[in-house]
Amino acid sequence: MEINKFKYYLAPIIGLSIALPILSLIIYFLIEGSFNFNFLKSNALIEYTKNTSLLIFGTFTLVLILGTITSYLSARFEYLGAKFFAITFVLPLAYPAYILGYTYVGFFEYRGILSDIVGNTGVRFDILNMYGAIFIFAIAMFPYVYILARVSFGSISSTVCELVSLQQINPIKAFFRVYLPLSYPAIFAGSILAMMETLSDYGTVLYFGIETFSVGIFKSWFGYGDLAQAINVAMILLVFVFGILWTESLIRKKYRFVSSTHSRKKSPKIKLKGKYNLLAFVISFIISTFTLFVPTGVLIYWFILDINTLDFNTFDYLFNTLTLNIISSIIIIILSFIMIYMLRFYPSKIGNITHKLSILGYSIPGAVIGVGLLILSSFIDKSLGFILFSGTFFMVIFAYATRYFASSIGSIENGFSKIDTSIDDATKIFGKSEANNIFKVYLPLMKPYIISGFLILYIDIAKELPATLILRPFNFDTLAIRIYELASNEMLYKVGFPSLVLILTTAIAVMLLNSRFVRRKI
Amino acid sequence: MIKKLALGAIVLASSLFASGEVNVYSHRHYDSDKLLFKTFEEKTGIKVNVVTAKAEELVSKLAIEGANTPADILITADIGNLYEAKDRKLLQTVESKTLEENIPSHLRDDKKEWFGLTKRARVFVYNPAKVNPADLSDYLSLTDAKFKGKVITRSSTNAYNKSLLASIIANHGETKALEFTKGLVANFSYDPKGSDRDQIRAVAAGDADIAIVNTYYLGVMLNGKDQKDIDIANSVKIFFPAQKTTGTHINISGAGVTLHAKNKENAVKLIEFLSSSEAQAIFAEGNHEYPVNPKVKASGTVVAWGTFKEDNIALNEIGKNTKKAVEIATEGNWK
Amino acid sequence: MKKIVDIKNLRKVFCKGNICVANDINLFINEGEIFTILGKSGSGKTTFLRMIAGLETPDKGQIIIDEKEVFSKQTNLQPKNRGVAVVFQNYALLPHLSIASNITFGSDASKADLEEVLEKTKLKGQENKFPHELSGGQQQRVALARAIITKPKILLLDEPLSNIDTELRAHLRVELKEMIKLFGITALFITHDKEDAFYLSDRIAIISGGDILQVGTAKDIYHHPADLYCANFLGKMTKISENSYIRPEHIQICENGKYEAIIKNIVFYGSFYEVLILSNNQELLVHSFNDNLQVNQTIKYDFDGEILNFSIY
Repeated sequence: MEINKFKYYLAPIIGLSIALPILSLIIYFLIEGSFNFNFLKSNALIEYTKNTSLLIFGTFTLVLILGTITSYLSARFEYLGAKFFAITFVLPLAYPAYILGYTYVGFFEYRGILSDIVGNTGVRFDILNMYGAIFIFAIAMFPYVYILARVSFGSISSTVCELVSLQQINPIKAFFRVYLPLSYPAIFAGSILAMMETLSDYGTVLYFGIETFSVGIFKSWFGYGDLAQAINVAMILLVFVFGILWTESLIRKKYRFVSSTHSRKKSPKIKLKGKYNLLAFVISFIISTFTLFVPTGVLIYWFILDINTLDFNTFDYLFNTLTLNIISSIIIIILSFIMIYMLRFYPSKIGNITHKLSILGYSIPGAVIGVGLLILSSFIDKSLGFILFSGTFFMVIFAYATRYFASSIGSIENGFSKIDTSIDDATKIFGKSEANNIFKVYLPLMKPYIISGFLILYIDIAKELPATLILRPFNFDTLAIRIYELASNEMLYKVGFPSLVLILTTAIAVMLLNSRFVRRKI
Repeated sequence: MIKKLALGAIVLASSLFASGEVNVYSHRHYDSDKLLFKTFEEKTGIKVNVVTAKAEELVSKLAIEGANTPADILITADIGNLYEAKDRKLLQTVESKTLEENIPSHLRDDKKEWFGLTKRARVFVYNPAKVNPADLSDYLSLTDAKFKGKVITRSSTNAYNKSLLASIIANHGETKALEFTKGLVANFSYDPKGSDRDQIRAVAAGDADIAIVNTYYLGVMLNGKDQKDIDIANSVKIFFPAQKTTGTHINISGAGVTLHAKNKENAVKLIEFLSSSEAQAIFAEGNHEYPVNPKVKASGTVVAWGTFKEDNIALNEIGKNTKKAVEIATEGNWK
Repeated sequence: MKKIVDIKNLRKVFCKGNICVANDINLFINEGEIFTILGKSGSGKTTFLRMIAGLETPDKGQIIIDEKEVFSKQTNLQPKNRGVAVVFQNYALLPHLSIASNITFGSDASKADLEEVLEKTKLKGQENKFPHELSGGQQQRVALARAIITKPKILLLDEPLSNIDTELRAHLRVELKEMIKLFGITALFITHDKEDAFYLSDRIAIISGGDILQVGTAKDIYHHPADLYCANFLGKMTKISENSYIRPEHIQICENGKYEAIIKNIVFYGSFYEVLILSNNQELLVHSFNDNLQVNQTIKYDFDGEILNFSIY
């Protein structure tokens, strides 16, 4: 009986722990500062709100358009180069947004790479503004929509398609009236992910000169040393996040009908011919050029410029990145599994609340989480009287857990939802013990989802910068940190080599993830 | 858990093999610094452990860690950051004849808590085809109507500009400083964005005529591998402002020993090393910063720019006014 | 006769929409019996089965299985310790395990036990296949085998035939009863289908709104229903007058019948005719074998069975 009771607490404990850095931050500020209601009317708030809204809604829209076009093409048509483009569309996920920012600045700037290609120093494009930022975020994030919507478009049941062709509905009308609405949930889910990631970004927006809430937090904190101000902005950011999540769950409820129109029987892809074939190719090529070929080309160009002075310490950073990343991902996915398992079998109201708390970190800037952890560990170490946590790997891994729990939870929840509750009953009746059930039934059934969750975590963690920067132990640099330092030194061309190495690892993870989605192993 | 311990053990073990160690929190992330730490290790057998991060984050980290901080030294750029660390009681006094010999008194704290290691000047970089250097004088003159739409610099949130504005407050008072800010902003070609290097490029591209930047960026561009950068750097000229009045604003990057340092002796040794001729020469050549040690010459490129009158106001005065500078920048709408 | 399952004052608050009722169930199941809980969907039958299995907790009451108290105020044993086994409506087979592994999952059965069960459930040769490779009927036998191999005190079956269409159903019904009797196991079925109840059961309990309305053999309930609801569950009722009812086959159309009526409608149902007659402004439903009846024909009829009186309270 007592062990049973403990099980009810396990999920809440995990959820609460993961949210702890954010909570300790709030508590710290509540003690040190106070909410300044005048701030709500201030110009600064209007600026931040305006900029943040513009940025995330702009990104949302562009991501939606890019993601929908590319996923529709890949899911429903066979055309020239389709298989190749199915990979190029998903690869931008391997690129950190800030690297995309650097490469495009290098490409479009005065006497940049584009002007070299064209041979005219007058050819340049100023992208360090809102439009440039939206463009960069859209490139970095549209693969989220691509992956989800592609599955959705691809599994629209053949009966729907036959109905469309029987009624001789013109293909464009069919797209807007039938196929697109059926995939709203997937498209929307991907776009929301993109929005959350954009909200939490700090490095890219700072570089592009966009004053968002994240920037506001840092300006107040480090610029003015004004903690009260920083909390004001941070609180409003959280309100923003809640608003988005709430809207998302409302809309998700509305679109529950999809299950009947999606079946295992897929309809065959339509083979495009003639001008449509060419059109599909051209559209795909243009999109891929901007989202993949240009950034990669710039990185390779920089790598070649650097080729005689390659810093082979890069491989040390690679080793650090890989070990830290893999260990963290394993720990986080285990915690996710435990939490969702416990919530399924030992549900509780507080469990649900802490579950929602635990995924907040996804839209909070990494540096905010970093400082929250600093405060937390410092408090613990002071109370204990000796250093237990500060400056250890534990801190960095904890930060990753808080920041990226949402990523792995998504996969795990998806997997558990595919296991019918009658299996739960059967294992309760027939199984030897709960532990035996977990190892013999749930883990094997969840394996594909655990692997996918692991890959998603790996990709996210590899790109992380700010929390790692603040929390890592001495003498430990990752590739992301190295890239940041080089860019800060404004030695952009030296960024090429470590970026390519980093992206190679994340690209492998992306490709693995992609093939799992394509083969429906999800 | 086991792997975590293993990783931690490796880190710990490697430091145990040296004869002591020193733990550094540094904002600087130049390769030349890495070289210097290695040299120090070889010379003294003391292991140098480094964590780099943004300056404000390091100060925050130190403040939060309090007595439990593992850091022995804080190395950071910008007097504002050093002053903040001192103000928040994060540093301790250091008695060192060597440091007093190697570093001129105006480049170190009178209370012996921080020590300058490199010097940089904040100058004008201008397009010689469009601007007659005879028209340029001091920082305040940039507000002149004839420069409307021709001036750029990076964000006011950047430490270098904060300190520049703080120096103007210290030299001319708050009212004049606010006037200056408003006038400067009125003359911007566009809202501040990008880095110092982007400002230099913008002048070369014709987007603006005058930019306010730090000297060493120009030096780095002139000596880099990218021919384009070299061409760009060659197409602009440098001007040392305020020669007839207060002198060109200078800033430092420097170091201090943390209040709760566990390896104070080693820390002092490291700072002394960084102030030595050997180290100073590497700072000078590697980054084209001005060395603080008067016995060491600047790099060839830098020397070619000529000597100039420095603003010799006490750096602590500048640091004191940093917070005010932020207020004034906000009021004057310098983004 | 030994009671395998004894349930006393079992109570679970049962809600349908906004209306909640508390029930109070008392019943027992004898050793070797096949007992059926018959009720419409939403009547609480599944909840009842789950409470016996230990998958849901009653609010109050006592459950005793083979003289061991498995649930009471002080006790609430895990399903594993109750000696129960369940065959689920969707079979709940583990998709990643072979048939043999599915059957022996969690049990200490020996190879010999497995062989025996495979033999008796006619699954020999399938043991290395996987659930998705088997037909629905075969999957059900696997579910049954898994349950039986644990030698449960009581076998619980949750609507085992509900997913199956009529023709196959009749066939599977026979197989199911055969196998259960073959193993000599006590079984509790829940179903909404009266034909299943008729065929399989030794005794039936009719459930509605979480409460047991009547317990008895099919014949008992059919001829002596406790109320109109129970009566209607097992067959059609003809209303004679307010509160008076009779089974339609107990109305005889005969030449020397006491009463007179006109035939309003005749429907051919294969093995009988359902005839609607009008008598004294009362419409009566009659089941007849007479091939010669015509609509609008005047006939005479009589009652040759018990007239049941239900007061509606």
